[in-house]
Amino acid sequence: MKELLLKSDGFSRRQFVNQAAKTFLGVSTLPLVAGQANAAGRLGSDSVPINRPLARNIIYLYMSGGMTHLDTFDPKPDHENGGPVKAIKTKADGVRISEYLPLLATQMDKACVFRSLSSTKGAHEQGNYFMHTSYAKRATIVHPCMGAWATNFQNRSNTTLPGSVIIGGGSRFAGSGFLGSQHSPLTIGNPSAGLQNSKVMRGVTEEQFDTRLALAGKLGVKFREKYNLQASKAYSDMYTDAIKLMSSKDLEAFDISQEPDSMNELYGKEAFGQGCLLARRLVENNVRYVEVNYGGWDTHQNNFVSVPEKAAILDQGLTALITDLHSRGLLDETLIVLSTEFGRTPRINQNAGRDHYPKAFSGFMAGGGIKGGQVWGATDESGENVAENLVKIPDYNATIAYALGLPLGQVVYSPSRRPFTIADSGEPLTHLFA
Amino acid sequence: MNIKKLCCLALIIGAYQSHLSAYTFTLSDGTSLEGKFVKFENREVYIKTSDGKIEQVPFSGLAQKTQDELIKLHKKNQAAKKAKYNAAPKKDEPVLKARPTPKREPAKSVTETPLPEIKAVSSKIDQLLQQGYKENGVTALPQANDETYLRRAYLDIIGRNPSHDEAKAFLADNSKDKRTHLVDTLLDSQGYNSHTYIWWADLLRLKDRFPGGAGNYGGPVAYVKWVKDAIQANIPYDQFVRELLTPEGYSWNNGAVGYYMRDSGMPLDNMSNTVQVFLGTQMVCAQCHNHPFDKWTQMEYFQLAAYTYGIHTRVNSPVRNKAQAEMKNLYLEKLDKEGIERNSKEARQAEQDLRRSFGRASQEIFKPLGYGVQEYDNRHLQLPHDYQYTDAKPKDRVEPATLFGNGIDLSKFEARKDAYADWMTSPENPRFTKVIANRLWKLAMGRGLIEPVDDIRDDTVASNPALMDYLEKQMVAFNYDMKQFLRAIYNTEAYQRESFTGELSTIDHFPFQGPVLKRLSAEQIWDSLVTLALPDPDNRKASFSKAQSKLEAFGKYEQILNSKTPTEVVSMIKDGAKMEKEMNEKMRELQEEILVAQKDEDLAKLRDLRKEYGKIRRTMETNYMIIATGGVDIMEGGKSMGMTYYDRMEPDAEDETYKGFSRNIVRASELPNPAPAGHFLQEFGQSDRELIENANDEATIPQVLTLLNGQQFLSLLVKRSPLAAAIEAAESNEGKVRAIYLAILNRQPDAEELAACLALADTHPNTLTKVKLTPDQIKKLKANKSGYLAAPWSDIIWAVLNTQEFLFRI
Repeated sequence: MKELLLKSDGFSRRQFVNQAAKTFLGVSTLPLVAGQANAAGRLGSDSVPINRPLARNIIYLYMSGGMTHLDTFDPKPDHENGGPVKAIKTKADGVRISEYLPLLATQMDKACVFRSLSSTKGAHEQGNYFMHTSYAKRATIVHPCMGAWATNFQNRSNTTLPGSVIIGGGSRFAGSGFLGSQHSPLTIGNPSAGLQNSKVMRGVTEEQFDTRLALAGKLGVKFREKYNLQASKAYSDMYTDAIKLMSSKDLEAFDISQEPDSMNELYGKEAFGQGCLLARRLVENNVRYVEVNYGGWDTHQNNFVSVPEKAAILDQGLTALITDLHSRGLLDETLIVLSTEFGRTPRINQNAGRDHYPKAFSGFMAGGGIKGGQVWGATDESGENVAENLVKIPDYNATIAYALGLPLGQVVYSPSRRPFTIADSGEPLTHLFA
Repeated sequence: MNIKKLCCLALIIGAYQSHLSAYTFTLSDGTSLEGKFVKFENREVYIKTSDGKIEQVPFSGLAQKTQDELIKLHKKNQAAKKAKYNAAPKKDEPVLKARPTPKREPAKSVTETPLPEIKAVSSKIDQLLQQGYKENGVTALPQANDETYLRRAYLDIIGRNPSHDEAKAFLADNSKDKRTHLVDTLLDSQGYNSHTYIWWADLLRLKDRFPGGAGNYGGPVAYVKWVKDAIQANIPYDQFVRELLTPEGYSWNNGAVGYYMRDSGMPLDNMSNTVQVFLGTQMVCAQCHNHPFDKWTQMEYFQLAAYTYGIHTRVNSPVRNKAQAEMKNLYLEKLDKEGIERNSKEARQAEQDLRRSFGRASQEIFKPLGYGVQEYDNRHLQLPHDYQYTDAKPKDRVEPATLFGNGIDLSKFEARKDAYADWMTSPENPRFTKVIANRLWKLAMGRGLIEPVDDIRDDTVASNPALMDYLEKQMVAFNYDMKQFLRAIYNTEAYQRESFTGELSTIDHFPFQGPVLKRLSAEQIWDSLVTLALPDPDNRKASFSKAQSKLEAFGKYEQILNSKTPTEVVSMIKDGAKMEKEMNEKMRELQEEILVAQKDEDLAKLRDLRKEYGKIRRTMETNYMIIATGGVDIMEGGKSMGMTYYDRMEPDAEDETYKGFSRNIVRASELPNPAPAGHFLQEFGQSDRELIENANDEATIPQVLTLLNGQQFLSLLVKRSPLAAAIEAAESNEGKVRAIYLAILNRQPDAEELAACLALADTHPNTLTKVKLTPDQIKKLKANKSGYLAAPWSDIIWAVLNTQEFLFRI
């Protein structure tokens, strides 16, 4: 990419994006690029040599609003900041988590808890952006999220389905940024509703649809001949692909109604559980990056009433995801990441709530080659300060990129010719991997 | 003396250095030193002796007597300072001086400028283009037919297809100057305002939310309204830019404050954006180092940024400051009464408790007055800490200086931003006029004389330099009247030719043999569909009346708070804290009941409880406002003090024309800024308004899926839609096919297209038994049948919409 972009001197940046999309990243020329990009990605990063099996997929669970760390992954039962929350034993020796996550406790042998995340952004929007991109939010550029970086370097595994999917409204910042709209994730609002507009409209028969298509084809001939330009040809390609997708077997990946009841029971019927279930189906169908958004963590008031409720849903969905992927043999190649924009003030406020707290908070990863049963980093007894092994947000993201084998040090130029790298200058925590 | 006390003293002495004149410092060994106190640092006292030398003496090395005296002096001065602090707001706390938006007059008809004046400009443009053709060895493309011209003019000037009836009227018109008339009509129409708004919204990154908290209290909605009003009044472009760059006050004083609030907390980025939009120049690289591809140095970047660095988007209220001082006083008095040492641990704890219980109340009450635009004379920009060049040192203060054009004499201006705006918008500024002339040329012709339009450098050459020069001069001659300028372009022969059908890259010097083909913008596609579905689409406007009354209420709120004494404010804060505590208690109780209901799986009760809970939560802000205003709900029961797009969608009494049509069927300019994720507009590449001109026209699979299977299609088939009405009105199958073509592609079908459509229509079971019905019978049928057009017409409409022709403007 770098060479390509540098060659583009004198080109407009938008022009470049267009050209790149059509010549190099367009659907019709995919195999060529897939080869090249994979080669670049799999060679390993410029700075970190990789000698282990790589994760292929990411399921990224985003706790929107700022998840309280003290009441989930970093309980402090012996300190007044801890409130009424107890710590419970888990399947991993010496690892204790909050009593609000009893199911997850049985899977901690497969997971790594991070207790020393530290951010500098205390507002939702800025924190969310930073967590997703590793860069501070600016008014002159939009940075890509990990899903876009992944498809940029390694391309899509499945050429019919999109490279990345965001479920549940999602973050406005989990986009493709300057990498261009061909890396934009597909957004699914309601996980139970499937892919929008992928079925023939109600009341229209298959036969009628075919009649319509045939007529449209005829009526469009002259225009396509006269204006045989890239811009219009791109639409011809997209019509072909869209119609292929409508009748493709892959479309079933979006349809969770095909799951047995037992699966719905396992994951939970709430949107988050259903989102996790859809994420599993998509990953099974080679969608590389799936983000499931779970909001409502902004517990300024009555923290100890709303967190147990939220945590119960998280507990069920996340545990189901781990066990289900494990039993299907997909956990090793799928990294599950849990993140949030910041933690919450260890000190309980006058409304029995907790406020925004970026200085020290928790994260969680499982699968994708990460060693289970670990805790990385720690806060002090009050939960207010990182006591050891501070993890900056870019480090956390670099660790995700490392799991996928993305080239961390490689400079990529935005169309405005500014240099960027995945995870900024973050250092991956390579020793956490098996 | 322990370290803590020493640190404390550092503050004490630091604060009083100015009060110390020559003084005799006695040292612990009994010797003494005559001199002036300079500073206290690292537990050492710096003393300037009469011969100008600086002596460093450890604080512990001072005699006890001197130590005590310094401390005593501190205490004495503390009282004085407190009194001074309470008496007046901080000296560097200027009072916000609002600059209200000037009154806008409705735009004059473009026809008030005589047509010959315009035509003279149009011919000169054509003449300069002809010279260009000669030099490039090309010939002009042939004149476009009326059908092509019609669709193009509507899309370019007002951003949508002509409706069936509009197309029919134009094509039937035999007058010689009908094209010129059409341009005038369109420029004077509401459609022009809609289209121009979208153009500005992309450039200015207009959103219904601002980053951080700056978006609350009407900022975005007032900004949107400001832009719409300015377009409606067709104020000259240079005035538009000047007003944007020099606002002061709250959003209820002047919506243009949104220009700075949009980039709240990012003043350097704001400057980069200003230069990109209005001067077509990219400077952002130079924020961190000298520009690698252009000539700009980091120093030049900071010098320019120094003009606007004094502008704050968070403002302090002097009333609040006074009240807080008063609260502190009360607290200190209480401590004294209770005999608690002021500096003790208990005192600190007490202060913290005080902050906790009243801090939030004070914050809530004054929040609406916290976001505005205010320039601070004394806020100066410094170079970054890692400045690496030799012309200055890191952290040096930077004096403002301009990039090119004439320098500015700052003393002639009231504020730095006024000087900046004056330089920016001057006709003498070599890029200001060039950029707007080039952008408007692109708007009409599909491509700029200079590409890209916003990366102009010293060595940039326009594809027709003589024409570029001429357009700049004309822009000045038209006094930056955008409509007259466009009118001249739309009246050229060049604009009326067939469009160029070759591939073009930015580096090609295109001589404009004709306009350039382009994919319709997301808004043009949407608005064209709206035109098929809704009668008179341009006049259906989002209402601002609710937003307006909220903004006025904020203005009133500001007046009320500013008229309060500190004592009144303190009691207000106390009431607020009490209210919040009570409400929290209620919410806690409710939450517990919710948990019980959850366990019992009592869904009905759960729903009620949640509703109740949400209600209390929402009324908190309103309650604060009621407390602050002494019992008046100036929001009149408005849900929240924050304001969103939906506050403006409260319908005014709407015209009969639109009765029964969904409120979502409305032009893009009246929808949220930007449309929500997943909306048709976003799908087709509407700008997310995060970056300047961030729309894209790339083809995607979801777009095609939307065209194939999207529900939007149904609104075209509703029998009251103008499209359906045109089809119903035609009698024969051929007439109906022609109506479909005229409405969607604004032309007649050719013989083959007609035959293909009729092959379907004439053999369709729905049309075979069709007999001519009387109006009465039709009425009855309508009442009985579904309200939608059926096959074969729905099939043909669908097919015509799914030709690529609909997506492109030729």
